[in-house]
Amino acid sequence: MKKISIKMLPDDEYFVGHKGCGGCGGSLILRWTLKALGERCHIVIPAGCMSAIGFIYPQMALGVNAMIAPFAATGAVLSGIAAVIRAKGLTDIPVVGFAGDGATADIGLQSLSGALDRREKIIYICYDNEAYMNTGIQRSSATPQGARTTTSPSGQTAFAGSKKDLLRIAAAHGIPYAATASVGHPADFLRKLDRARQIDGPSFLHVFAPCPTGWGCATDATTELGRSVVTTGLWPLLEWDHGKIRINQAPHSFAPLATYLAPQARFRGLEANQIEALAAERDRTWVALRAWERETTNSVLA
Amino acid sequence: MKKPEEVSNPPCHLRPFKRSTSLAIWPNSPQADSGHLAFSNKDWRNMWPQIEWQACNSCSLCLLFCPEGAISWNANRLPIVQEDWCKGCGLCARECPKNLIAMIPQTHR
Ligand SMILES: Cc1ncc(C[n+]2csc(CCOP(=O)(O)OP(=O)(O)O)c2C)c(N)n1
Ligand code: SF4
Ligand code: SF4
Ligand code: SF4
Repeated sequence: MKKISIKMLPDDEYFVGHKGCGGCGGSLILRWTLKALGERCHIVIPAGCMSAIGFIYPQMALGVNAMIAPFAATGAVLSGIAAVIRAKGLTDIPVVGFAGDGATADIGLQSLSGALDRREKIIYICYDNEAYMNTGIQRSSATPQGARTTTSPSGQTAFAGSKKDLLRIAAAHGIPYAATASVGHPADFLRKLDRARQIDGPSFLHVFAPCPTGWGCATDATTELGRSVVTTGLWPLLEWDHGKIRINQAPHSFAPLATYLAPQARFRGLEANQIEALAAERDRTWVALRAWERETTNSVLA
Repeated sequence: MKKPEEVSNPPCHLRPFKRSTSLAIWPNSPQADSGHLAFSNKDWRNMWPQIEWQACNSCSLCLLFCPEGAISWNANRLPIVQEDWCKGCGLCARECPKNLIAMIPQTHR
């Protein structure tokens, strides 16, 4: 199997002619994914932006076998396809799900849980644009605190909870491989995709995917936000590999939150104390992450 | 409605879906395969990426970061932007390490 890397990406395109907004992070990640996995890949995309922009009569933007799943059913459809492929004795077909944060963290969570439990060989990729974009920017459980959406117009939600931790949820299923990645770090993302496709069992990738339309940022800010979200410590790059959690990039100090927040209209209403609360939340997350790393690397089971 | 085959469709290293011959009659509709553009993206943009070729070292980062797959290589392995595919987002200009891509107003081309 050829290793996946930026250099090894073929010129062939398998996601072109889609109707995504200019600068859409999700569509860029999907384009990379299919370039990397190639024409044998079978992909399942639930209701959401990527299916809305990819399957448009009379043209199909996807150059591989692709299927739209019911909103809540990505995991179930993936398991079914993987089971058929296994039954037919085929070994060279990557079965990939590509779902939004709403489809993953909210409505499709039980289906994902079932799929992770069944241990079929699938790669589930959640492109996280932190809201229900396709239906008009409604808040999801992956929307960060303080972000304005059409259902949380002031950025204050009725729920005090923070962004749902999908990586820990996936890892808690005891699956072999799960990781976070960002559109700002393509080499890191492709390395993780390469690892995921070699795993004999389910793997889960949670990828940061800015949405200029929903976030109110410039169309050319997508990749820069994909880097500043990491340097500010808001999106740790992590890898869960057979029972151990690895922090891929642990900054000694975090970049000021404003470098990430200021270019986005969705955070414009934030008061100083709310930004401090965000920073405090981030610091707690990192303390817990470092503890998790120590715990799993020292564990006798690992 | 325009039939897909009448629309200009410049190549972008596209890899159109290879339809199985047993499915040749399906679907019985003007469905275009992947890699075709039923309608140009020209009207989507107000900026256009103008690439300064002199100092370009063909690093390919502009190709990598284009969400549309709108950039391809010319015969001398220099990046060219496909008129009908580019949406003018500016990501290629942001990511060129040598700053060789200028986003200019579409009207000034
Ligand atoms: C059962 C069901 N409920 C609601 C919808 C309507 N719907 C279609 S796409 C969508 C939002 C998808 O959001 P997300 O999964 O975050 O993906 P995004 O659009 O942000 O890429 C909704 C609510 C649906 N198609 N099916
Ligand atoms: S609304 Fe956001 S996620 Fe959807 S296509 Fe546009 S930029 Fe992409
Ligand atoms: S401006 Fe955007 S769409 Fe146009 S070539 Fe550059 S990256 Fe691609
Ligand atoms: S990113 Fe810049 S230097 Fe690299 S190939 Fe494109 S134009 Fe040339």
